[in-house]
Amino acid sequence: MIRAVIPRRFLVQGVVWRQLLRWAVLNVPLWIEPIVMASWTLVFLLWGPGRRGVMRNLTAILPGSSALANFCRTYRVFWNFAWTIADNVRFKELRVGPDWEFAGIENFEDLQSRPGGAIILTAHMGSYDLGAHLFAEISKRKMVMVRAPETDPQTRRYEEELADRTVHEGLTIDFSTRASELALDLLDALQRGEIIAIQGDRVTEGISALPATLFGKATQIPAGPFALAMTARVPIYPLFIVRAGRRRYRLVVSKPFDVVRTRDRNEAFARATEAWTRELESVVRSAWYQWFAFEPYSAELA
Amino acid sequence: MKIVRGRANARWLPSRHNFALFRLAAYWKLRRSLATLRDDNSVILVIDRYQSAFENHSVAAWYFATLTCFIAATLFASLPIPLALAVAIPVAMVVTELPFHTVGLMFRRAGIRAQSFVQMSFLIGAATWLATTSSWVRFVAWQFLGIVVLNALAAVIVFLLRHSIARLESAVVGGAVSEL
Repeated sequence: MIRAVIPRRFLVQGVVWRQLLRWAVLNVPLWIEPIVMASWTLVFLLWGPGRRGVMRNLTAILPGSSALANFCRTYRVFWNFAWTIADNVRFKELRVGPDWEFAGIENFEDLQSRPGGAIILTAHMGSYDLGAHLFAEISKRKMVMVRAPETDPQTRRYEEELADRTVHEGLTIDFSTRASELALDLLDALQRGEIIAIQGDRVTEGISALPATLFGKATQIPAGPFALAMTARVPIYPLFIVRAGRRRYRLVVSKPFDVVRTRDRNEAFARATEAWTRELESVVRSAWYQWFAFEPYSAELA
Repeated sequence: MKIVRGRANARWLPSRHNFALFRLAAYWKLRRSLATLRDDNSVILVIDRYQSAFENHSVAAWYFATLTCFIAATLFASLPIPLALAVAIPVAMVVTELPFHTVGLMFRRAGIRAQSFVQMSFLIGAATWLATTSSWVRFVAWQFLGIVVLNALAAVIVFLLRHSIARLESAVVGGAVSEL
């Protein structure tokens, strides 16, 4: 109903909000930014599907939580999302980044220094883009970041133009829509010793998936990273970027795991997805306020 | 963008603060932290004048509380004070945005510094007027103006200490600073 009345560019994923955000980053005095963030977060709380999606996910992450408490928690999720996307635009427009802390620094150093390729498996938390740029800046390793494109064509064009302006020679951004050709490109990159960063908590249309269990609910996670790791015989490093405060992020790197080839392919995948969902659950449980999953992650929650 | 790697104490660099009062406080804190100067390879800190979370949240809270009181005492003067304050909160959220949208529409390339100047001047002007009234809000206006004056005094001190601050900062960051 609303979609029919409001012009596409004004819908929540429309380009107008991205343009407004860019304008705000370039104009809002930093010392009133928290007030502006608080107001606009309230406005975006009117986005029904997103709000309901987060609230439903919260019922699984925090069992026994009440609807009222989850409504307030949803405000916190939206608030963190607003800060995260603003930090991302600030970095792209003004080259001003956040402070970083590392948890699991030994795993991060291992990832940087190990010969051969590796896969970074991450989630929609904190700023994925900022993390990739940081890695590309401080590491000598080449990285390919795979992401889902924006659903709105105007927004997609806008974001691509913005990304082009902040191109880094060590970082390539590719989109998960061209699944079959991309798989070969990524395999090539891994064999050249590059690092591939993929989000492993959400399956978009046209992407092959594996069954998994997250917070006790059946879900699906992308099959690509696991298949790539098995084919290229490279480890998977779970890595999460958690917003730890205003302009402060924590890079959490867990111990790597392998997708070991066995006679039973399904069993190998099941073991790997279990290792991944265990890490994902542990981080999301402690930082639920910034898991930016705006749709129910499981059909049981829909 | 300048970054400091592996120096946790660098979070107190005065250059990471904007307002003189906070720069001065950071200078004092940084001096005290010299005794515990240590390497910590798990941090990367950015040197930017708006980097301090504590400073920006404090100033935002102070600005917003003052503006809310001003709105409560002027637009909702006929209501009991607690009710006027409650009603003034959403209005203050909107009013906070008016100056920078107006300036932004008038001067497309105003930028953050010009917007900051306009925003602060707007509230200083309002405080100067309200300080002369007999309403309860004059106390709020005086505290606002008092802090503005304190910040101006702090700016003079920071200027006089500029060489000492620069020496201290380079002693803390040493060779750990680089361009990203």
